[in-house]
Amino acid sequence: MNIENTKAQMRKGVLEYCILSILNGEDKYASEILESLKDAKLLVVEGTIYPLLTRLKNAGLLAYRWEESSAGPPRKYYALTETGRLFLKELDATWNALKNAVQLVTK
Amino acid sequence: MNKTLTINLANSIFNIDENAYQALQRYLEAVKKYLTGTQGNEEILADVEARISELFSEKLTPEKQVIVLQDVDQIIQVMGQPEDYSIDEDIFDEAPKTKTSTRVKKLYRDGDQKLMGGVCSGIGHYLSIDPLWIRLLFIVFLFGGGFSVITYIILWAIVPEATTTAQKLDMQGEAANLSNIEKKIKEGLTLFQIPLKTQIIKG
Repeated sequence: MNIENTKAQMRKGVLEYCILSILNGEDKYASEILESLKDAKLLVVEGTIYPLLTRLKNAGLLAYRWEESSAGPPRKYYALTETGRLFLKELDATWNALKNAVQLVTK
Repeated sequence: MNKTLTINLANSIFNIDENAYQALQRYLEAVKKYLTGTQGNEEILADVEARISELFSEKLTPEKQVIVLQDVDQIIQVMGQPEDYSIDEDIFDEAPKTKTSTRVKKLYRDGDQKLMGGVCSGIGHYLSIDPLWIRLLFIVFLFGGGFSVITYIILWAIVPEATTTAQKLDMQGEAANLSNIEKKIKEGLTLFQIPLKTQIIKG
């Protein structure tokens, strides 16, 4: 068993949840989402996020719109949809339960 | 002195060294290849190009107007290798794929249940119906101009007979895994069958 693989799996598992959380209450474009994730050290390389965003969008959890930017080409702003908000709520509960469970076990 | 090219990356124009351009093109090709078959792959690639374009812009200053190989290398470091673009299908699939692979059925002649060449029983297996119906069909067509004789002879000639246990499983559409082979052997077929040898054990 490769420790790096296990770590990567763990991170990937929560990445979806984190992306939805980042977009909760504020629409952001890819680079801003990336910044948050990289600051939190959740993301090692940026490439991982693009297939995820597309998948979340195709699943109806995210929507995007193009917005002009003062510096450079238009940006793709992502926002939570109503389904996405409900999804996130559910994940919040799951995450809390999981956090408590892990804390209990690893004590 | 280096030769530079002008490229349009996500609607922004960049001057780029020839070798840097080649590295970038190789990278994008590799990512594209890796994403083949992924849902929305063209959109993903467009997003990736837009991000690279953004990172390129950050590299440029009034003193530095050209993207060089070093820039591309750095950006590849940031973006990751093609395999980093994969997402775990199992986690994100709506309905997890059942691991039991439904094996694609193959058409074989069934030497165990044959009247002549085993063509009809083979087709029966393939269509999952009793070979009797296929035989009846062949007989009906026999009176309608004799086409079925020619068809039968052609099929006899071109369709291989299922001789090994794996082939017999293929014929019936079962996966040739260990437990199924075992089952077949228990059903009375031998694993080490030699083609052409007459079958002693009847299934």
